[in-house]
Amino acid sequence: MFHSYHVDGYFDEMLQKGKEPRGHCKPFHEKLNEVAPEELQSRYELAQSDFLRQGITFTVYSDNEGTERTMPFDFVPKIIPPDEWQELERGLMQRFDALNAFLDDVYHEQHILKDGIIPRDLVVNCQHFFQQVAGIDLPRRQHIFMAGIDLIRDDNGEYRVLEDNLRNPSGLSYVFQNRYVMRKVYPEFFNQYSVQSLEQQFSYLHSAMASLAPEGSSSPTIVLLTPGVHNSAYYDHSFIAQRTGIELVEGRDLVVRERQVYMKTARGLKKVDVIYRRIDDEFLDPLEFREDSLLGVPGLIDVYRAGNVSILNGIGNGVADDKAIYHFVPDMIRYYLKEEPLVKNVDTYLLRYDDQLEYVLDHLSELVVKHTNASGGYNMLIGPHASEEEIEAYRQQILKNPSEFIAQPTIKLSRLPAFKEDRFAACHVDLRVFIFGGEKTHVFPGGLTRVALKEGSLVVNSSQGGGAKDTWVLEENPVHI
Amino acid sequence: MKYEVTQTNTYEYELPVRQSINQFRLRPLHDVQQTLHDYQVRIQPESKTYGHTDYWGNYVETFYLWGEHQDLEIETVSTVEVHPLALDVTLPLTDQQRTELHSDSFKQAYTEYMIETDYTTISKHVMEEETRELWANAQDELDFAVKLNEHIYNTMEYVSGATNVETTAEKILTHRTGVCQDYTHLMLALCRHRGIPARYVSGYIYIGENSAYRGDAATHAWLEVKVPGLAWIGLDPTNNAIAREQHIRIAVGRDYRDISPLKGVYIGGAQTLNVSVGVKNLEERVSG
Repeated sequence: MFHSYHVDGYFDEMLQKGKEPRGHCKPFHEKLNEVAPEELQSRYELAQSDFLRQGITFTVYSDNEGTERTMPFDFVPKIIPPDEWQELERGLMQRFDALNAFLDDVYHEQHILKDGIIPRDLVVNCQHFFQQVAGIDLPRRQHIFMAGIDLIRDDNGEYRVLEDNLRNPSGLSYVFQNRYVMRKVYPEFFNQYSVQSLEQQFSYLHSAMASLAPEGSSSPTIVLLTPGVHNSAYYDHSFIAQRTGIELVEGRDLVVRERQVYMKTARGLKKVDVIYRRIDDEFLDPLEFREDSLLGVPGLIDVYRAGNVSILNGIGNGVADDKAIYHFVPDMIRYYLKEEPLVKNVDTYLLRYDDQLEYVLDHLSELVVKHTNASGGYNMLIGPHASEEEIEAYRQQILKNPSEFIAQPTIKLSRLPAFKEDRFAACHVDLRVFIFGGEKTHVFPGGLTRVALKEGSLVVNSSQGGGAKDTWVLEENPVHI
Repeated sequence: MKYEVTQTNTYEYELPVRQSINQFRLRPLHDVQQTLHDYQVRIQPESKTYGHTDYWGNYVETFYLWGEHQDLEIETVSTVEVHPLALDVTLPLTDQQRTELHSDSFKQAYTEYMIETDYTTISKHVMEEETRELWANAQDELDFAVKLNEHIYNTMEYVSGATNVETTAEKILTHRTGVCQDYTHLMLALCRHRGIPARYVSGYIYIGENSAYRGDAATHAWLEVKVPGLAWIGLDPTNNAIAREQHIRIAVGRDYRDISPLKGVYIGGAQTLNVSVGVKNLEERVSG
């Protein structure tokens, strides 16, 4: 199965040079070699059909209609040893706290801008900066309830942050489903491993939401506000609502009256204290944002301003996970926490600066260039994989408005084996880690490992043919059975 | 100069409406250029308002009407004293002012008022063309702004009904017709294009005996430009005027969207809005 497998050129998370498994992967690797390829194939099919049966799909948006797909599941997990995880956890908590401090600052006194640490125009003219919420004091000053931070490992195996998702990161439900299917279809792979369980996480999630309720609401009513069944992440919404025991509502189920939000129930109006919303900022309230939005609740922002409802994640968080602002996150950590960043960024060029623009234009074929307003791997240039025409076309796009672009070196994403019927192939992976804010910052053990199943591809986004893997964080003191 | 301004806004609905939530910016600013002595709001059907100050420093009020109603009236009465700037706009800027105007720190501090918004977007080459001669002949940025004020006044035709609250600067420049809001958006775009921070102002104009002044007899709009070392300077391209004691400011922002005087969401049918404004000069002496 591994005879055609290559470990050179990239950091392989499972196998070292000579295809020897890394220490923590050894038992898994041995098990893998014990199972017959036909057996693996039939289990693989069982796993895929399990996802379909449960209706775990996501919608791909493209120029045409949205199409629903399941995310392919690969059963070779990403296994993280305890010391590696603890270090990562510390770094992510640090980053989370700095990002949160930044949000509270830019919507209040803007010290970091006045001190010239970050160019002011980049923040206040950002399309995700919502002046409507400036000056609003949030419970615990917490703007981020759930962050989904995307990590990659470079060719030395060092973790680096690729993206901070602080608006509506999706994918948490997949993490649970991946584990569920993994345990069900491949139970013996867990033997000899003591993997941190995910059981506790929903109660963490619920208490985080409750801890962010407006002051004085002792047993708060919490709802999850979804745009509806047609949204790409609806599965995520219904799953989270169900497992945390909160009500799943749409905009039309809520109404604002005299600075309070109410949920319409069979027994009349019921006051709502916390809204975990999965609707984008612009659509939340037609009175203050997009007038044509039918998804939101008129008057919601006024209630938020009055401090009578908590909206999670906070409104306007997009200014902190903007692709250009990303460049400054290490500076935020130094500025607010007086600490050195524990997890590094990927080097980023801001094309608003002439010298960086010049460099990037001269090296387009080596770099990844992204539009600051695009997400999900759309509208980006992967230099080494692009034709000359594609590079030229992109160059013209950049020149029209350089300040809207950033560039990064092509990162040699680490790889893990992925099952391909009769063999294993080394495929690139990344990891989305979920972090919750609340009474205290909490890092979800593991996360969503995404894999670029198209061999050689660097794009792991599910909308672009990526799949998922289970992510194991090993216990510090493994219990041997 | 001291004024009493009464603004009456009357909504009539085709059919009874309910669950209405409204937001308005009608309280005049209270700052160094203007003292707000008194401000009263009366809403019919009666309703309590909740106020807050927005990012631009304007006072915003929100109110709720849950039950059915077929009319809605919001009346504000403001007593305002205007302290005009003692400023000679023909004086050239000093070297120091010009250096600061071009400095990165100045541009950063006023960056919100330097950007293109949906309302003020015009193709770069069109703006370049439109302002080339004025720019070449101006002694400095302030002089340019004053000349531009006159240029817009001379080349635009004041026509009500030709444009609406959605009309953007590009269209205005093509047709060269519009009302005060359009004159203002156009001039904002051109000032910003030449690197001068400029902001939209909504307010009232006291016409009095001076029948040469145009305004739509209701609310008025003009702009303010910022030059280092000076307060915001009001320029009114609709009247080719420097805003002094006859301009009463209510709200400022990047464009109309930021100062939107009245808006609301409700359940029910179509509405019509009537706005009437009366500006009384409290210092005017009765002749005879």
